[in-house]
Amino acid sequence: MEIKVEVDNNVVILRPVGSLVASTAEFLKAQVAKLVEKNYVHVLLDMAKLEFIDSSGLGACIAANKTLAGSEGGLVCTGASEPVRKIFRITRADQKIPFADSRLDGLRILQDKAFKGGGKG
Amino acid sequence: MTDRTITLTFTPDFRTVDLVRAALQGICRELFEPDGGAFTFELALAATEAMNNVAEHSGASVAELEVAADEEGVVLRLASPGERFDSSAAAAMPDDASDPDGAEGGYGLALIQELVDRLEFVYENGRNVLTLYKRFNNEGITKEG
Repeated sequence: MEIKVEVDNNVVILRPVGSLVASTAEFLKAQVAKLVEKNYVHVLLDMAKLEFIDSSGLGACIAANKTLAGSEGGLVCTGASEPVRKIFRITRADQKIPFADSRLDGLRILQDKAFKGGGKG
Repeated sequence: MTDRTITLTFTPDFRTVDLVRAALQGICRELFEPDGGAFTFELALAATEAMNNVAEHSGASVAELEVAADEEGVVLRLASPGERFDSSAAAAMPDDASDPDGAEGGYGLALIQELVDRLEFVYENGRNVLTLYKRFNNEGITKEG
């Protein structure tokens, strides 16, 4: 898996490409930890190129959300395929981590949050 | 379900689990779901969780995944040598992830139960054997002859 990184104003867009699984989950957590160190705490996880996720990948998303929320930021997901969304539904992770209908909506949610305080912005 | 059987023998570590999953997805695409739809995703996820469990907890140096398919569905049989693994304690969904302090892990066996139609565990001849049954219940799936 590789993670492509973009910055749109104060929001970081992470685009994992491939599989977010036990062998790669730590990479996502490490990326988010580095962003928080640099005071980027609003992250959009664009899952459009995410082919597969397992419970370790889900755990990495939950951990990333906790890390970002602990710094007054947050994580929003977008672009997930139906099977990926189903994993979040089954575990009810989607009640804690919001899913945006589009990348633009996700950016809007996070930029509004950033405007109200927390992180770079 | 003995129409077609393939056995994969592998070293249970996370990186190798990735390769076995890719092989399983390839088998599913070749046999019944060319575009790799929801059935393949869910079967591969159930298998991945089971194999990750072996990689993480069994201490086994080798494991075996048997894939059997017929017109009704797919049976996966994962066997690994070692001490008996009590799956019942780990099968419940942990505190759900919507809780701010909710668990970041421990969803594996509970997810398997959600994604397959039937799950059986036996300990025989010094091996833990987990069998997963998943039926085709999607009109989009047609198995080649």
